[in-house]
Amino acid sequence: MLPYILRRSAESIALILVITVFTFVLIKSAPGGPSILLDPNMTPEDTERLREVYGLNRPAYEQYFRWLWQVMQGNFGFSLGVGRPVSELIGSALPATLILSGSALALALVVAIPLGIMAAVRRNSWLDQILTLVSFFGLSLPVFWYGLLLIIAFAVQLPWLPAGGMYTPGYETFGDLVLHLILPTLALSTSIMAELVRYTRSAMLGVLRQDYVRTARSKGVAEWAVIYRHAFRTALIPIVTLLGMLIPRLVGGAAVTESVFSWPGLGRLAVSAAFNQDFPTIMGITLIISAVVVLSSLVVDLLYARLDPRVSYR
Amino acid sequence: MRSLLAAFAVMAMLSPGAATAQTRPAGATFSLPINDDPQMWPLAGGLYNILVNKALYSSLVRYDLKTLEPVGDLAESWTVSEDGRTYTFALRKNVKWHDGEPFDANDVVFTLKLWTNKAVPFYLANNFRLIETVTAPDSSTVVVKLSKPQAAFPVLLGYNANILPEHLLKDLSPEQLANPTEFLKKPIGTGPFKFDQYQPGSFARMVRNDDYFDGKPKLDAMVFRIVPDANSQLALLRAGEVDLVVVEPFQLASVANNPGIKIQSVPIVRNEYIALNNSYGVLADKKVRTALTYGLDRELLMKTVFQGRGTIATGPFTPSIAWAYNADIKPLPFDPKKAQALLDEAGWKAGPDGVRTKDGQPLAFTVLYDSSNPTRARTALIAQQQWNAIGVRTTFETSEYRAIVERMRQKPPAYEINPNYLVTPPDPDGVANYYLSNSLANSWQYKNPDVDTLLDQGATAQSRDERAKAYKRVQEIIHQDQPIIYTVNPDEIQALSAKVETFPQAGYRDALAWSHLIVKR
Repeated sequence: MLPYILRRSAESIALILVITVFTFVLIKSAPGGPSILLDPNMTPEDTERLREVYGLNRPAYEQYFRWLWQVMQGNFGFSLGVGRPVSELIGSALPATLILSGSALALALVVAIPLGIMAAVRRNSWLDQILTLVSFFGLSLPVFWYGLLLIIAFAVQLPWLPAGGMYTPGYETFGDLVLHLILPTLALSTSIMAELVRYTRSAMLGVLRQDYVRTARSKGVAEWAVIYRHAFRTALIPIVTLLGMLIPRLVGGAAVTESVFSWPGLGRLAVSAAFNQDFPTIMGITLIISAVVVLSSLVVDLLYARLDPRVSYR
Repeated sequence: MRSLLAAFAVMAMLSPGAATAQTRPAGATFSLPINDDPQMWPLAGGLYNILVNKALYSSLVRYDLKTLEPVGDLAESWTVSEDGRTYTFALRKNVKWHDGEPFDANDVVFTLKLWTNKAVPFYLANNFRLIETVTAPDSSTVVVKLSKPQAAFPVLLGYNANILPEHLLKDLSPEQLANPTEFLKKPIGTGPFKFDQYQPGSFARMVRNDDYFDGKPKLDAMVFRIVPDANSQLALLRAGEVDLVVVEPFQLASVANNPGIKIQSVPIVRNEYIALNNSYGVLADKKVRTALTYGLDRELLMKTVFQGRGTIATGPFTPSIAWAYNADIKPLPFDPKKAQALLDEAGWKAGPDGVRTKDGQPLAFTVLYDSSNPTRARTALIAQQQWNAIGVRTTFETSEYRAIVERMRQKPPAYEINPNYLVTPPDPDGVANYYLSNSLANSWQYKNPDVDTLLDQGATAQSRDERAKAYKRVQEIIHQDQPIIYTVNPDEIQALSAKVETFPQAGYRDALAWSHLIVKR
């Protein structure tokens, strides 16, 4: 096990380095340049001077290595747009994202897995058909539209909930947070829920047809035990795979959801950094997210061994 | 369920603001959305930053809300020497920084020296390139010597040029001044509102400065909420969570006829135009440029794209700078026949497919525009249809705004036609940069030595009359030359919550410098 983890970790670090190079090349080849160089009021002379002051006129490879050197010393640098330490920006955005994606994921799991199981058990029933229809609908809803619709319905027309943000400025209480969390959680969890229902259903269907399930049933094991103890445990493997893919997506911040609901998370930060071509921030976020992706795929691989005794790592 | 709640509680504690969980009395709080994190640092640009700084800091001058002429802010008054090169500012006394320290001439000297220090990244440093020396003969007088007369100097001092506290910043190196982390944890200004709280990505909150030198602000607090999405900004306004959104004409429909929202249109110093690259072959011909103006129905543009809010533009200066605006110039009418006659004269004859040609070359252009801005996109579409009718073929190319600016600033500029806009300081000198033959900002490559001379006269002359004469003549020449197509001087459209009783009648960039006058129920 340990050699496996070590080998995977070494691979991961190399992979992350490659990702940062790619990201850097992409930012540098985008037209227009950082927004701090082009406020509409700035003259070309101002642009040139700032380019020099910020070292943006240096060769790209030099800028990259300077950045890498800083990071190796544990310094993510300063945001070009905001002039604040990147670590501070990420540090304040990450909890917001974890709160939102955590609650969206929790809601999705709590709702979708039982529904998916029910749909599989009662295959082709009216419940299954409605669920299929609803989950396809949920999967295809564009969040920028659906989120706005939620805001207009539950914050404008029926003024029950706040229309955006994480807190009411000046009232940063737990209850206030929960109120602000409801709509974005709904918006974000809908597509995850839909995906999870579909996955759980098909995974369960595959398992329910297996011989050992039939054996369990013929031995007279209670139906709920067949479903939850025998079938569901096996069906968990593809579901865990899906979760492994969902987590980096969620940690990276649901960019659109966060933007529509003005949620101060990593996704919104990434969008604004990309728009401003604020490369220290983009690079910092990329580094964090790719680390999470690599780490969560490692964790998923290790979980397989727990869930499926046939899988082992040497 | 209990464990879920516990998880929530843990996560809530992780979030920065919740740890302190303050509650505050609900007073009159004025909120407005900004689309990104404000630096709260006047040396950096960005509208989201500039707006917050108006409440937090003061400048030497600000603009009169009616005439947009410079009036005292931290400066009580000023005089200028005979030769126009020495300005003497008498500062207000008894002004305090938000931390209680007294403000004096040293702060002004310190700040002006920062602006002119090449190593300090001040985004508008070029506005102050003529400053030679800054001295403080006593604690309430500042003398600025310029290398050349600059009549617009006081105007530029009011243009996003806030005074910074020397006592907190004097020891910072230029590198530290690019990222003044410590200072930004609690920025200190002299403005009507004091910094209270900043939640990155969420909001910046300011509270009333009871010691404000121009009278106690009427509001208890101002909150700048970070809302990147334009539709969400409107939803927040409709939900009553913000009090002001400046809307584009195409957004008017979604806020009009709402009892909770009132609309205020104010003229501002803004010019919408269709830039023509005068160095690009065919567009060097004045007849072709003039024909394009005749061939464009600007009244229609005004009615549809701008929802009737603004005036038809006749030149580079806006009517909001009344003293310099030449009201005798009437816009060229929409006259397709005249346009066609001009193109005929220029040798462009209509071909069988309706497209004009000359020496086998079709009269065709690429219109480059910023696809994220519906105002510009619609302008391009209307121009295409109408120019098609006079035998001019256009194709579209879309790009991101900054990429367009970059292309326009290349030498020679890498575009043919581009609908765009300018927001400038309220002085004709503010647009001179775009017309002077040798200026780097002259992206339409218009070159006229007479205009150069007159713009220089206007910039340096000491009497208002002399300046006005030069600028009015500039407008006449430019009207003759039609270097680009001036479309509309659009009003700024402010959608205000009905709870707002008073919001100064000016563009919000200028109005917020008077934010102590805002009244909300």
